[in-house]
Amino acid sequence: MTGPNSTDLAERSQWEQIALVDILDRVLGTGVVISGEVTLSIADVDLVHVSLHALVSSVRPQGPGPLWASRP
Amino acid sequence: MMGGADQQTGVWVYAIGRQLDQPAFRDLPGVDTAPVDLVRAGDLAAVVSSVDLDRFGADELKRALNDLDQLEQIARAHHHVVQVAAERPIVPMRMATIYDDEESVRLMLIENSGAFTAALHRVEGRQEWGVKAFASPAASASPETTAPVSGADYLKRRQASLTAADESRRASSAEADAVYRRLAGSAEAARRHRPQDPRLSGDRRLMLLNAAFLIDSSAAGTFADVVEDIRRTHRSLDLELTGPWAPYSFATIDDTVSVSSTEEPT
Repeated sequence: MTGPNSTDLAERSQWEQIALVDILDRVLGTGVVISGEVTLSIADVDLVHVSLHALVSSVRPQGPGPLWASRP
Repeated sequence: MMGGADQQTGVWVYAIGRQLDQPAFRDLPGVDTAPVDLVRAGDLAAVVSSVDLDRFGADELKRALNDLDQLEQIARAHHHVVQVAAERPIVPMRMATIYDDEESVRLMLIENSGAFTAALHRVEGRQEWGVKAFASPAASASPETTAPVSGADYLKRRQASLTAADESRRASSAEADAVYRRLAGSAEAARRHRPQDPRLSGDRRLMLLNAAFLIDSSAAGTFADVVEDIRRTHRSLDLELTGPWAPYSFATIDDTVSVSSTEEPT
């Protein structure tokens, strides 16, 4: 990734192998959710009471979010 | 994209963008290795792929997302497409946003075009960088070497070590807050995510900061320099820099439920 002319940014960030948990922070914890005619979004997917509950709920964004306020 | 009469399909949406070209997505495997396509409305386009609702219907998807292997596969495929799309300004969608058909996606684009355009404007020419800070194991190691001489001694030491650990955690936490404020000062926008669960990250160190920063692409080097400087001046913290990410944490629109926490920690 880092050619002789490129900055060493790629080296300074541990970027080569992105950790799953970093991806989950973003794909599950952020991103636009549009109410309305979405057939199915993660909002309707009750991730919460199954085995990964504790793990996946740890990547939810800070603060209240209706998305993850599912029952235990 | 053609679903048979008995095969129901949905449209998985990765991101909304402007100036997106189909060739950028050619041969790119989407979720479930489906080909990636664009649905256009005006100058906006949604990056999409078709999903089989037999496997990505509400119940099936729930099961899949609760299986760590399948979750990983889906998340990485989704993320990969988003990163490719992020060569241009985009607004990433929450993972697992599925519409009935392309027409519904088009309608969604039209109905939210003002909000998308504003969001795209905010992230254009900018990148998201992540900074995680951990309590450095070296800094928090306990110097206790001799064995306790009695039960009471043990309990006393234990209490002292708990108190010390507590104090050191508080101090580190305050330090991480200061680091966040300094980094936020060099960013266009900042947001704190929850600390990661060690069971998912596999990292036993105490995570004190898990933050995202929106940086002008031209200032990425400067931002990395600030991180480097903090590394030197805050020896009790281990800092990790990740990026550039698509602007996941900052591409919000008015209609969104995601919570932007750019406020200072209290």
